Amino acid sequence: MFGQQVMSGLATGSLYALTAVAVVVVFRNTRVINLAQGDFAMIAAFLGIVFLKNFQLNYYLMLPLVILCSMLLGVLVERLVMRPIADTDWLTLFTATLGVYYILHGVAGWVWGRDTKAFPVTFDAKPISVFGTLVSEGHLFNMAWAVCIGLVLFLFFKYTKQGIAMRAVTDDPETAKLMGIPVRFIVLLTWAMAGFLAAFAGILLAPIVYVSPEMMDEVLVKGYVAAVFGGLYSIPGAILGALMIGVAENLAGGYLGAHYKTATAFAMIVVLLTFRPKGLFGIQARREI
Amino acid sequence: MLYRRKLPLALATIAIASISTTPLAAQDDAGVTDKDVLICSYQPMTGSVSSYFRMGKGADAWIKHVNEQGGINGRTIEFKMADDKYEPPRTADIVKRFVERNKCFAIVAPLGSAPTSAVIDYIVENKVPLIGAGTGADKNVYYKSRYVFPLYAPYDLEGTELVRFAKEVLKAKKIAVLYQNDPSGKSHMLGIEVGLKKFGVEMTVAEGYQPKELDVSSQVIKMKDSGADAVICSCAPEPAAKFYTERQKLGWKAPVVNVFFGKSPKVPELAGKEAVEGVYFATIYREWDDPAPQIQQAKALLKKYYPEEEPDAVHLWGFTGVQVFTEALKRMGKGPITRERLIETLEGIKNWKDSVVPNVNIEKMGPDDTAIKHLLVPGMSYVVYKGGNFQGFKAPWNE
Repeated sequence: MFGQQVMSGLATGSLYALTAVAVVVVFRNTRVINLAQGDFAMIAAFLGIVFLKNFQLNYYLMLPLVILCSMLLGVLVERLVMRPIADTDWLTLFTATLGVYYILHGVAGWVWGRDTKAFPVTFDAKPISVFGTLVSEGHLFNMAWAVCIGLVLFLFFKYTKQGIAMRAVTDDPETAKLMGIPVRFIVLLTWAMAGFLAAFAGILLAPIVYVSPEMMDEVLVKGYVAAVFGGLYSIPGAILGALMIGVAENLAGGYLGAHYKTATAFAMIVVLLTFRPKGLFGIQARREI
Repeated sequence: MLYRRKLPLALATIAIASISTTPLAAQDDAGVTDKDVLICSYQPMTGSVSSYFRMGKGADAWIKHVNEQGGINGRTIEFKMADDKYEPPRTADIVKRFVERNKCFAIVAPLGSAPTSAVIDYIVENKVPLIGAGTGADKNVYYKSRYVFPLYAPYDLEGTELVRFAKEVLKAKKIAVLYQNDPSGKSHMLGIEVGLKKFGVEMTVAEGYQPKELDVSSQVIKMKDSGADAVICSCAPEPAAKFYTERQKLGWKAPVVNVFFGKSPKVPELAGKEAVEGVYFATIYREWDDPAPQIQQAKALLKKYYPEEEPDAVHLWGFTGVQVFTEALKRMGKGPITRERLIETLEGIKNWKDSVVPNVNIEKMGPDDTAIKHLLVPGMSYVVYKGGNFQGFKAPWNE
């Protein structure tokens, strides 16, 4: 049972990872905790249904279209909501994302209804045996994506011009500006990236958690906890945090009882922050919220 | 002087006015005017169990139909629904507003065990009739008040019946249980415990889940590992779908019987038909393809007012409460519409066959009785999901 609980926990953790990574990316470059991140993914999932069912597109045509729409949503939120209040304090920005969360919830419910919907299944439902444990193709795919995206983002921030510019903005926006880095564009790019990650999260999660305006609420909370767990600035930390929370929840559910599953995630974060206030990988001191 | 002369006159006028208006005020209760009657309902219109909002839609379809026919005895019915997201604190706020601000005459066809458990005391204290609430939690069904008319039998009785089903139909000696960690699931567990003793079945494990839980994998792994040879799933449609998906993922073939409130086309839609193939479901209504005119009328009304809805048993829960209410209102005739008269009239409904329930028989409650005497839907039967459809299944003791 232990092995299976760990494997299922990793599968659940990979669900949290994509959201955790997006929370980190936005926070690193804008110092905003984006409460609407889950809803970006929810909108992406609904759009996925529209493209697959209404327009009868196949999965591989649908995916880039959803990514495009989701990135556009990120850009719109930045231009219409966040940029006009960019110079205000973190609480105002945080509250603005809460507003976006409620608006997107309302719009999705109004356009697509409140009922839970099935996402056209794209994976074989039969289990696959991995190291003597069983995992579904969908979960395996999610885990692979979580690792791939983590890796791609890590390389992007480490080695590309735009990634390095983003890190410069993270470290010191004023100096970055003086050095000729287009800070506003970098912030815009960050929100587009949040949309990009949300598109993946929405499409990958939809067959597992089903599609409804509330589909990402629980995932967002766990994704945020994972991001804090990893130190809020670290992408590998967020992924590791998400996987650890998934496994810990499952082990708690399996050995202590289902009632302890959610409590375990929060107990972990409390214990970690007590001994390591900056999270697992939050080594450098920065302006904290 | 003038003041002295006019004061007695003024007092007399006020006294006469108050005497003459008192009987008028006492004629109809709150929420009733010459033109309409206001009834209210809390529903999970959004949230993780929003598929249960079908109950509200079913109820609304019937009320719309009644109003289109000219209402009842010259009055139309105003049916006010509010979204509580199946969150008891929200339900408490909503019901307070219904009673104190909106002045609802009765709460009809609301949904949920946990929400109803949170507000039933308040509703009864305010002497507002609660008719056809979709809850089988002990507290709500065994409530000692004439104001409560539960929709269906308590979950504990269903729990006991499902153990019998597991033993006699699924041939189980050891069962595992997955239950919703709220009053509905806990009531089922009470009945299951009784059934275990009564039918000599062993329970290997009972796993709870939270209604909003993202996945139930840890519970299902534990259940599979426990060596149970059958499962009782006390699950709502969305969590049930997650359970069947997980069970399929683990290649676990143990037969399952699901409680009636999880019987929904949403389950195979979300989990995939293959994952639900062969699962038994308890049910308290006739199937939608039953030729009974009452069922076909409900189907037509649903199609008319909610064309996007796929007919589901939960729609019929809603139809039941409002159909019984409108029947009582009809029987009350042109006389004063008061809550007391409504209760007396409801208690007088015997062998009434014009609703979606084959036979409504509401008993009169004695001083020591509980609201179970007021049940609108008695009895339970079974269906099995096979070849993409729910098909009737007769348990040996029902033959």
